[in-house]
Amino acid sequence: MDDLLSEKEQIEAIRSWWQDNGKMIVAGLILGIGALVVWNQWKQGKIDAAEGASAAFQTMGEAVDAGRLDAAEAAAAELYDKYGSSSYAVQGRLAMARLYMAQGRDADAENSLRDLLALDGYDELKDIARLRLGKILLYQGKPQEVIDMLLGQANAVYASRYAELRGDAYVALDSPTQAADSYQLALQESPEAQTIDRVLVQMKINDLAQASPPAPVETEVTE
Amino acid sequence: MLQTIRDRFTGKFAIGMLALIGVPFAFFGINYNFIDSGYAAKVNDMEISRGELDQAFREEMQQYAQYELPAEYRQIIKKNTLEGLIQRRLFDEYMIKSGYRVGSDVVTSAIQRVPEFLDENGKFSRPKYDEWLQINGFTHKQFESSQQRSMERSQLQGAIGATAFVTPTEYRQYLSLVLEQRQVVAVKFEMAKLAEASTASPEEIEAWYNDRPDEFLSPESVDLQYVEVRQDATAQSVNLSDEEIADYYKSASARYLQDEQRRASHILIVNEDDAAAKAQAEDLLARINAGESFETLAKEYSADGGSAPQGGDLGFSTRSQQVGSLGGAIFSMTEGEVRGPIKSDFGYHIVRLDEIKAGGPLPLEQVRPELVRELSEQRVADLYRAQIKKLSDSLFDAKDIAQLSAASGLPIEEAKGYTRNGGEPFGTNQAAIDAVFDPIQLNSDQLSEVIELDASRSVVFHISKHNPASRQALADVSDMIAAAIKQDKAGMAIKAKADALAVAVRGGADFATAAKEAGATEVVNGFVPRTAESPSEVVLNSIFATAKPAQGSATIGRVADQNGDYVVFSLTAVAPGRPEAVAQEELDAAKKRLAAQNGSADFNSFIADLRSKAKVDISDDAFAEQDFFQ
Repeated sequence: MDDLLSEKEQIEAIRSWWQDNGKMIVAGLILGIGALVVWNQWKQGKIDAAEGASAAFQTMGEAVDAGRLDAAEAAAAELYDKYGSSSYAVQGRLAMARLYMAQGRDADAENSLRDLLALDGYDELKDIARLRLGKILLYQGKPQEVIDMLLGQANAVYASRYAELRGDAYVALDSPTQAADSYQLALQESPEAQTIDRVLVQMKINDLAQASPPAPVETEVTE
Repeated sequence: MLQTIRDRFTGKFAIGMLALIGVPFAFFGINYNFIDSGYAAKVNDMEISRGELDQAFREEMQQYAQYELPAEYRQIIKKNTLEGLIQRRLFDEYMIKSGYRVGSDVVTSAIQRVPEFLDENGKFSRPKYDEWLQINGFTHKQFESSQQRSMERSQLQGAIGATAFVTPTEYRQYLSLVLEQRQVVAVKFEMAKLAEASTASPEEIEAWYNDRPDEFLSPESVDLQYVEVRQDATAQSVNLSDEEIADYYKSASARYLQDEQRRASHILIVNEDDAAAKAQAEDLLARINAGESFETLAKEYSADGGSAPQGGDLGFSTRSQQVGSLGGAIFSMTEGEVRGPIKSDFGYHIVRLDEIKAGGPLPLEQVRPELVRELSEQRVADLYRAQIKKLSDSLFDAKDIAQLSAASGLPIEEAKGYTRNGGEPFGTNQAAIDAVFDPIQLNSDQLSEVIELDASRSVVFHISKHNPASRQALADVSDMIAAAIKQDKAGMAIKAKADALAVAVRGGADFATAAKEAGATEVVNGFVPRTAESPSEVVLNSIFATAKPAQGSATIGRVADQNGDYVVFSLTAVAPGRPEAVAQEELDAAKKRLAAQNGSADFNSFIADLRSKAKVDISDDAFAEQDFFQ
């Protein structure tokens, strides 16, 4: 404000400025508050949905731990139907697969994992689902399917675990040479995180008939 | 372009826009961390600060507190700590991005089940909860949201780790490997037995001695004469008079100033209904003023479990120990005064001031032991310095150790056989070794300088005899050599026998018979599991790493055992483990363990996968920096 104006003129100036701009300021404030309210509601809605999915997941997890199939299936149905797009629904399939396996229903377990693998996204869980599916397929006596499924799987983090699974499949196919190669590969691939039981893999190699590379017959100990 | 925006961004529209933009600031304020302390790592462009790393590192180091870790180990631990923080960050980021969320009602009910917050009847107690938070320095909001976060974490972790399973095929394969048994006959050629049987002739011993000119040496050594000054010897000659102590107290009494202390008692009334609590407190105050015993009422009504049994007694405390309104009251009351109700964070208090202990210097008697110790230490140090000075002065004129001893009043002492590795009387003190084996000193019989061995011991010495390194005489070491020769011969004989046995068996000889003829003793004959106690671990490992024999044939293996012994074995069959032979509960437990192992492998892979896909930038500065706190 100009210092040279009298007090009356200043008030007059403010009033006319308000008459010019007042509506816009009020409109801006209303819009801003409105947007905030809508945004908050949207956010709250998302939180509510997440918490709902979380609670359903929790219920299902407890049922899985207790081995109560009916309760778990009911919770899973709610999770898949109401919160189908949430991560909880994806994780739920991992839990259901475990429960089905515990109940000896490997076909249902297989389906749960295949459902998961068919979903869009969630790649970070698919490798785990694939490993578990592979074990089920071996149990079902379908080792060739395991080898086919693992073709082209190139995630380096899972390389040694895939190699071990492939070795197990070759053992089931009675191909000890390929099994030994796969197990050796599993031992060579060494991601920083310890993801395979190296001692067990070495046992698997030693257990292969003649086809294994000559085992170290002569061992020297240094005292 | 910018000009266009500027031109348009005028008038009423612009003002409206500014108001619109202003709304979020009005509600949320400006939330930005302006202090840049430098980052330790950036994880997908989110920083992990140096401060965060240092804090985590310090916590990690606490478990190594009793060890003196070299710098490179600390570096490794620091790197691992950072790696842990990065993985934690990635995990949290994934969790939030994927919409993991535990409802506040779930958090509340979990908190209400924590044992620490339950009263005697096993019910959730709000005051206990509040007290615990206060002691541990959390606000409700902080604690509850950290609980929420950790429940979300365990939900995600469980979703991956706890959903792993073991298929019957996998389990059977595992058991058949782990419980595998191998049928072997193993025989041992014993070093000790063969060594005893071998001989070493005088000629051989002499040849062995002559072939090894660098062995059988006795080290270089010197004989010394020296005088020494020791601080602990001077300590006995210090006597302090009462006046000296009193003087010292006067000059040092400023150090013993003490704050005023007050002893108070209180009764704490806690009630969620504020007015009711206040009314009850007022009622109690009236009863005390009417003559009822403060102690009795405290025992009956006070909610402060720590002081109530003592009649509300809080003991002595200084102003700085008592905070808040209660402290304000205690330090503004007169002795014997009762005051209340005073409101604090806990509830309403009625306070009585029992005693005031004035501040000021502590009396001499109370600090005397400390003063005597300090003063004696000073005296001893002074005396020690004076003696060293006297020794240095005497050294200036002394031509030999006898003159030095006479001038300084210190006795001559002697040491023999002192080597480059040390020896009595200076132990392994490096300053002494360096001074004695200084080339100039070594080749003269001159007196040395005053050598300060450590803060409380100094010596002057001269070398009375230098014994250069020499070879021990053949006669002195011939027994030792004979043993070595026998050992050597036995070793070669064993190898030859083991080889011959292996060849003979491969050629079709019966293993047991051939082994007996070769003079070996049987160690094992039959099926051995991986966990067998005999034979030794190296032999077992070798047996289980040997190729499976074809039906009806055998694989021969040889392995060097402990003590130079040699084991030759014949592997004839491999029997897969039989789960049926194991008790059911053991099987179930092992299956659970295997499932858990699979789960943690899955979880590790999951984290490693997140890590490999993330953009992580680790700052070298975070490690290059000297760590001043260590």
